[in-house]
Amino acid sequence: MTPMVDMGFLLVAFFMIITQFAPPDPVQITVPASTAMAKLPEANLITIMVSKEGIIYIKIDGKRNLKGLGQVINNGWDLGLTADEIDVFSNLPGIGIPVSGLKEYLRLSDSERKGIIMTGIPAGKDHNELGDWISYAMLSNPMASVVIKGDRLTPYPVIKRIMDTLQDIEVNTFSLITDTKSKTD
Amino acid sequence: MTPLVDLAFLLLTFFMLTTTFNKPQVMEIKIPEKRDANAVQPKINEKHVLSLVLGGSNRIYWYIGLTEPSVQETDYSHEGLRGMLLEQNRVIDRMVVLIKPGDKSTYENLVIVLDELEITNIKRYALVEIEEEDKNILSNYAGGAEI
Repeated sequence: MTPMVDMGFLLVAFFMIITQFAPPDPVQITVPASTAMAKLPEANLITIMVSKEGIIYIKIDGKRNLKGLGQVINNGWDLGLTADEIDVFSNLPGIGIPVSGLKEYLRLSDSERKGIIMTGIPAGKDHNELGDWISYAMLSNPMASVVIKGDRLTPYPVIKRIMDTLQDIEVNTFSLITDTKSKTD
Repeated sequence: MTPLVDLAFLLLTFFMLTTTFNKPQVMEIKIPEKRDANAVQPKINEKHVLSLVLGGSNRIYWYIGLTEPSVQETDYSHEGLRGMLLEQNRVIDRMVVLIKPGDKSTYENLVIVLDELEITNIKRYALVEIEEEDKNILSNYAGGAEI
């Protein structure tokens, strides 16, 4: 009996360590399937998330990377964030609001913040903050790679705007996150 | 002792179920550098060009060249898109595929087309916008095109 219990706990410990509770995404996304086999890199990702309504979010993995970005945007956009607000920023699961509302947003309490409806990062032709976000994120972490996680039903014009934005800031290589399927599916 | 073992196995089951070993797959995309509008574009024989217009409601319209081509329609199934690509790739020497997604098409439509081009081993393709010429060609399509 005792050896079995030992083994049981060993397995429990193993799975506890292996499991990583993925930080919740700001929005539910069903990605399209493809036969692409390349794996998503472990770290240093700048993820552009697009919901099926076409709302754009940006997600940076790693608290340290996000904190670095917080400092860069604070200087870049002259937001006047305090150290506390940058700390709050480094815990955000994703950003989906215009920069003009960012300071207000960071001042809210956690529960108030959950109630805010994300309107998305502006990426229009006249007013494009997405390009600046990506540029700042690349500046704060030059190792980062850009990935797009789009919902399968996202209208193409939104994807086109994102790709044009990436082309404008000379990010010419990026990846699309897809689900697995076999060639015969 | 037994309740302890029960608990241990309960935890074990929980962690086994929550663990995901497979990581998401990615499709790598390389887009050309931005060039100014006046730059000279390479010219190709229109007979080698397959235009693939992605419309709404998961419809695809395709035609060869731009001078009064006959527009045909297909879908995203194996017999449809993949069969057509394989067939045309055999018939047309040095085929170039121009993907022209319409405003009503979705992200999934684009991903499927890129994936099928990869599967059928067609290396020469480009993602371009729908031009006025394409709209004229499609407006004559008997089946009615949604783009």
